[in-house]
Amino acid sequence: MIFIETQPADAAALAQEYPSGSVERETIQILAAGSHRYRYASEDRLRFELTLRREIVHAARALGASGLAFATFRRSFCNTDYWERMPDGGFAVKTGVNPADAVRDILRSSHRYGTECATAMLMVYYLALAEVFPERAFREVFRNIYLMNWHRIEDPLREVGVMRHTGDYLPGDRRYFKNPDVEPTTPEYQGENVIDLGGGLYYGHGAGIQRAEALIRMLNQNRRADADEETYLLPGVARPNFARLAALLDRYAPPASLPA
Amino acid sequence: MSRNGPNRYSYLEQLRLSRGTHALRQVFHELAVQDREKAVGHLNNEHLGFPTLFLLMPEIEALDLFGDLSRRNNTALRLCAGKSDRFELCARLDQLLPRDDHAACRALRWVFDTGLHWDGPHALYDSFDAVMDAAAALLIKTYRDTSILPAVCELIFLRNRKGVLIHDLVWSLFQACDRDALDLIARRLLSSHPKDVLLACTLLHLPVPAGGGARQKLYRRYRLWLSRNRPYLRFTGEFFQQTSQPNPVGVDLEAKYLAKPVSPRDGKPLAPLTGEESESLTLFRSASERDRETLATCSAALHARDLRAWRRWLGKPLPEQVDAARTEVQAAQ
Repeated sequence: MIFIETQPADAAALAQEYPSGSVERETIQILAAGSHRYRYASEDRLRFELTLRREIVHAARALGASGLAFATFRRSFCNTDYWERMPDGGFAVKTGVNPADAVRDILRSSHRYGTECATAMLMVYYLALAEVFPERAFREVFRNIYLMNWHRIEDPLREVGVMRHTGDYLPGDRRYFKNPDVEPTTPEYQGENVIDLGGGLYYGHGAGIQRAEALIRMLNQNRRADADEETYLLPGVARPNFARLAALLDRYAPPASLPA
Repeated sequence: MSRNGPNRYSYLEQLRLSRGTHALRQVFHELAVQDREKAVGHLNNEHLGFPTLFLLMPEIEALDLFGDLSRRNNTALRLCAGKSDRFELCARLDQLLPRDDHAACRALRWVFDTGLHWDGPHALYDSFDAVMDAAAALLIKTYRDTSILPAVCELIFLRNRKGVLIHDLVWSLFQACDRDALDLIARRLLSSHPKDVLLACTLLHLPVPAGGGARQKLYRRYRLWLSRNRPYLRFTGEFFQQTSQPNPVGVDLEAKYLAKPVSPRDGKPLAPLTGEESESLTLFRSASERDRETLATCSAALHARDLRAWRRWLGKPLPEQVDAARTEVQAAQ
């Protein structure tokens, strides 16, 4: 159930504002029927979350359709015009480069990038945030972008690295397929980080846009010879702290300036 | 390598150590062109170290010496080929010498032991480390060789100081599901190197201590926690690929309540539950989450201190157990 401050929101009316089949409408419907009370400080805060979720899903779909290659950290590569490849295989924005330009280049020159699935998830989040945050706000809020799985997340995005049990699954959530019996010499297949695209579809880097069964099948093919455990989808989800990101954005732009 | 002493270095090892990679490759190539059998003999020498074989791989390939290599070298190069996605070469090496599990395990151990302290050309770090990681993973996961864990731990912290990739080695270390690995990491809390302390805290899911005194205190507290919970710890399988805050182990409160050790791998009791234990567990499960924690803590402490008193306590109705446990836990605090 959705609450704005202390009052229940008119979820049906809110949903009507968005096209049928849209990320926003699906999100509202799940929140409204959800197992928790979802509280928002204002309707604008709810709309911010809906917008960012939509952009996360769009970014995931765009990255899924791009030429971004799958590469282990040892063989990761990036466009060195914008990024510095670090000794651990991660990418840091080069000094003097506008972070939003560096992030957008991942889609623009996708064939010049290759990395693992967790780092691709961070790329999705930053691509989405670059659409929602105006240039100056993005530059000032996300000063230390370091793309390297969940090991080095800058503070404004730290929650995307932590999986929690929520009971409800929303478009734009990050989830994880775990392959406990992975072949030891290919630990990169120990699991697949995915973005929930809604409608039972997931984007996982290297796997593309798939249903859960297809992702499980793919990871099962990378198990050790005497494996006895199947790949499974973990129950937890990871989400950005939408309220904190909205508050950060408010410092730079009034809510009305959110992209429609 | 050092444990063999300098006199036990093979000819090629001496060449590499005294004259470097370029000279090693050049001299070996010339030797193999002139006297193939002698060159192969040097490669198959029992005192050769894996780094030398690794560096000579391009020459071995150029001169097509694969068919004359020992089983040890065949296994090692098969691993190298696999880690560089050279699947045709892998298949060829496979055909030359059919797999032998026992020999493979020894060869992997040779790769790991002799490669451990190699500090070769920077450009080869990634490909060399990838082979080392794969050897460690196979030894731990496939051959259940936990004797390499101290060396794996050492390598993780060494690499971390250099800022290079540690993920796959850390994954292997925890995949061993060996509680002693927690001790190995915990010792790094006492290190004077800040990077060691930070990594130890990350790996053990602990807060970062502020200073030297705090490090000692944290280490003592962790060791105490470990000693109290060791038989009831199970590995979670959480890792950096999945979360930014992996917690490698969890305490099985039911096992702790029954003082019944569990497998660190799957959390199943090492011995089947008796009828009495099953009944106690049913009662335990009916308690609140907070009370379950108190009951488990009290039970483990009482079990360690006075077995008779523990049995009496466990036989009491649940509300009485909870009351006694609260008193016990409060007194301990």
